[in-house]
Amino acid sequence: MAGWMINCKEYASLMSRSSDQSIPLWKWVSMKMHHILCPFCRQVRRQLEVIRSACRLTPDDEALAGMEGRRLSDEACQQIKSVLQKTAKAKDSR
Amino acid sequence: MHDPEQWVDLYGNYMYRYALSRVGDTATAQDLVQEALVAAIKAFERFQGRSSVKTWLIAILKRKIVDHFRQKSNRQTTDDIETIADRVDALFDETGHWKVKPNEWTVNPGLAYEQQEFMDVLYRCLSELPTRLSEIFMLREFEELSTSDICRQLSITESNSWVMLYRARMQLRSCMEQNWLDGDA
Repeated sequence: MAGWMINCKEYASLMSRSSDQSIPLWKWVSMKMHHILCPFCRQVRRQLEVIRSACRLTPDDEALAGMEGRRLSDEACQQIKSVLQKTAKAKDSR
Repeated sequence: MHDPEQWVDLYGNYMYRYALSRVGDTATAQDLVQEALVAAIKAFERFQGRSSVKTWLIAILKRKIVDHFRQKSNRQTTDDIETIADRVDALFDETGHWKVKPNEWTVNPGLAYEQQEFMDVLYRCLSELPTRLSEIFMLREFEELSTSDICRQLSITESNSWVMLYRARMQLRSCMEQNWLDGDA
């Protein structure tokens, strides 16, 4: 039964892995048991959730409040389009 | 729909505002938009259509913003992944328990973006990760690629990817605690 008990280091590693793919059931149970018992690891789990959420969030226009009037100038748009044309041509010719 | 020039008309201003919100400088923001769109053309085969074009372009833009901070930073980032491995190991004592009690982060995950300081520190900490760790982390968390796709792209094994992602995450949260929570907690 002692094999079911994992420490914080093992929990952290398993937690990271389980956020990328499914893990074997017994490892998941070990993780859950540790999660219930360890407030520090619960804290770290929440930290990683915050980081993931902040990275994945694509803000809507409202979240970019105060920037409604900020836009690329016509010259900037033309310049970028011209660079994109060249890049696309160079790619096609390869 | 996938005419890159149309991307400028459809998403250019949104990308520009996003970049501006992070770097605060109009010329740099414009350069970053251009760099992101050029990178998108070059990597278009990688676009899997799971997200919208807009979301995909923003993911590439975020990576360009991290590159920008990396170049701008005067601090030398170590590319030695083993150094990071030692630092991550040092978070735990000999019995595998946290040496330093993790702080409580009060930021609301859904509103993290609106917390300017949190996002500033996040980008700064990401730019200070070794390039290889930051690359794999950004593919997973910005572009939301699966680990098997990442492994194909970077020619690494799955177990290697788990180890690298674990180290990147642990180093990132440590950096966030030192640089963000020192002033806020």
